[in-house]
Amino acid sequence: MTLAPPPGLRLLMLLQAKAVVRRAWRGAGTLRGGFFLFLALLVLAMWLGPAIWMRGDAPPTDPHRVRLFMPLILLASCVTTLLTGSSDRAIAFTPAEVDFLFAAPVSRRQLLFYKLAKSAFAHGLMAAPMTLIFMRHGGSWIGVYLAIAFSLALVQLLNMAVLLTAETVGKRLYSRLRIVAVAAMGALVVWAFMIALARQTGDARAMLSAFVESTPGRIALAPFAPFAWTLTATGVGQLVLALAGCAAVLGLLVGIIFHLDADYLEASIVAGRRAAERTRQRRSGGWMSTRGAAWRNLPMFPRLGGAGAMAWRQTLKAVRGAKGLLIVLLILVVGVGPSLWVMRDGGGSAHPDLFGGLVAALAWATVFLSGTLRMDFRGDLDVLPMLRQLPISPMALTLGQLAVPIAILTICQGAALTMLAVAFPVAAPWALAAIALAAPFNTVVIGVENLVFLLYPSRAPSGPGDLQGFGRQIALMFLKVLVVAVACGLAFGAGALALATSGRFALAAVAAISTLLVESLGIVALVRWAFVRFNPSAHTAA
Amino acid sequence: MTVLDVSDFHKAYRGVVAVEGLSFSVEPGQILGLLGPNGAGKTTTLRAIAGILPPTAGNISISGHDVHADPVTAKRHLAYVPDDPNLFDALTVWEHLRFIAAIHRMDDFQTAAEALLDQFELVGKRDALAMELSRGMRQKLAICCAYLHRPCLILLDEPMTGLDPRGIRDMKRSILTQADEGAAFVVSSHLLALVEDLCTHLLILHRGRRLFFGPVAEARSAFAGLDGDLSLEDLFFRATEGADPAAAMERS
Repeated sequence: MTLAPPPGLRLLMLLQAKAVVRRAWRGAGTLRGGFFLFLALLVLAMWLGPAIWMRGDAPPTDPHRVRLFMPLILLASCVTTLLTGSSDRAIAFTPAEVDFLFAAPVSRRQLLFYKLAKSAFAHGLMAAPMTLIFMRHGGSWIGVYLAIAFSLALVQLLNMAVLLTAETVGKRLYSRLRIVAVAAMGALVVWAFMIALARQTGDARAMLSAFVESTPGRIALAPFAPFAWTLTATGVGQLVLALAGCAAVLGLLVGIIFHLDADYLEASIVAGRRAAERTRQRRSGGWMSTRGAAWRNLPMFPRLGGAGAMAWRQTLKAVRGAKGLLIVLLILVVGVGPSLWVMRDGGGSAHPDLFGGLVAALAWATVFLSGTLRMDFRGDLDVLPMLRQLPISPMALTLGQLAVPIAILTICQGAALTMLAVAFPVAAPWALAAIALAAPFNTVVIGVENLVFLLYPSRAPSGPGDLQGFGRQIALMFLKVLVVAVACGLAFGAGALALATSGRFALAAVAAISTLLVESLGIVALVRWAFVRFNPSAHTAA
Repeated sequence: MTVLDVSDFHKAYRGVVAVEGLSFSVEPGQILGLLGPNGAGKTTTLRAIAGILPPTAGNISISGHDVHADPVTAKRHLAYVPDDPNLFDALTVWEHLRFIAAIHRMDDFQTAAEALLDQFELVGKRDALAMELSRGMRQKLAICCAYLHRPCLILLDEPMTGLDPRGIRDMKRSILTQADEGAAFVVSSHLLALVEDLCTHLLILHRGRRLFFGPVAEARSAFAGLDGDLSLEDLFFRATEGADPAAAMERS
């Protein structure tokens, strides 16, 4: 069988590698491109710098612990990837590869070789910065680098082998085999867990150690052990032995993949289509999937000059993607509410340490949801030309577009703040003031998100090496944070001034809320202006 | 020698039949128009001929080579331009042509590539990235890539999408020229006037089954009650609206 890719595939790999470099430097000569590139490099340096400079300060991790837990982490990664459906990527080709390569005179094995070679290149690149971060857990630079690169390859090869086996044996037999494999693995895990329980240590880490060191634990984790040994190897002899183990595991998987010679092209197209669909969903509605949700319906809202219809459309989008939304909210309620209740002390108040945690969680949820709830202009980039020609006023359209994420965010915060008030009666006035502040604050946050989006509409960085795209995202994020910080600072300043002059908390709250209200109205007016000046021909697909 | 031979081709997706018992052949120089309403099985047929989808049953061979059993040899004689072709966004126009030449092991491609760029007015875009091209230019580049290695069978799925009137005229001319030089075409399109202008033969599909296959001139006589001077549009609607595929198969 011919494995080596023909000259055409080798050239394609070379051209794509060249394109990554070209993408990174293209436009860097201009002031704007240079600024974004500088910003991206600065952020990367700030991220990686401490790992390099302070590597001597941090105490090295006990190699025994790494060898104990890394195989478990690798097993969990492989299982998670297989179960969550992201394993599709293992055999997915890009749309251009499908159109050009699937009808080209190259064999399936050569295509797989091409895919593996490309992945190996990507893993090699990804492993470099990760080496800096994981260095203190390893024995030598080269060992850490190879362990990371090989671990990334392991996850991909295992997924690929499983998916190609499924293609070879047929879906029905594959499902049965998978049940057998999962049952066998489950039996090993249960057996190991029983042994760990028998130790009765009460310490979670000790139990985990007992689990990993038990016979069934060792059997289940044996294929992953060489990768941990590679990471922690200190001498050449140790490293060579560990690498031989890795090579055996990876070689076996590669052998299976090429031996199967499965007809994966159709499955690959389906996988690619799913990946494209996921990307489209991410762009239009964050993590929310609307598949099969057409039955969830809503009556039309009052017209309100057209704003009602716009809000109805966005609410429908939220309702149809509510599965993911409900899961997030459920986690918040299940996680926070009962915890506060259980931890109430004799005086009916929860532990003070929790206060800070809850406020932090609330802040995180606000940031997370404001970026994720894209039922507004951000999720409508592809339909903005259609929105522009609707016979309703831009202000009504803007209000309708912004209403839904603001409402959802406000309801979530209202629920969390109510819990806070119940758990900490002392903080109740503050919580009530915060509830009153939530709606105008959220209008400012969502408004700024939409304003920046309409002024600088952009999708995610266009691919590996797009450092300027990355820098641009950082700059936009910084801009958003800056505007929100200034708006909040002014409101806080007005409140503080009112408190200082009158000494009354209620007056201070009214001053802060009034300031935020004025600001939110200003932001909505700015979003309207940005929508009117938005040029669809410059920013949407031709 | 027959360039394309499709024999009793079936394709099903998870039990749903997309194409059923399709047989037809294409000779050198012929331009076969593949017609049918949405969901008729046109794109599935083209993808199976291109070796992208395996047939559930039946045989497809290109210049005597079975696409499924001997795909690499069969695909040497083939070019496929899908509907809305995807390009490698980070590669330039010229790099696309260089890649296609390499994949088909062409030693000297420069002259032919430059001629194609000239023919399709892409000379000025030679060093432009694919992501910077308009929809029409992307289509033209995909066509240039298809023509470059001079295949004997060219499959085009909606080839005129995104082209301006001049582009459409150039495309039509190029298809006729290539056919004159011996290439066989299978052109899937909803533009019936285009098919009528270009095609020597017709294959009408409906719900995965063949309603008609043969020379354009014979199509009218195949459907009883149609006058000889009726347009292809009249013929298409007569054939596909309320058609009984089984009866139609007997007719063709």
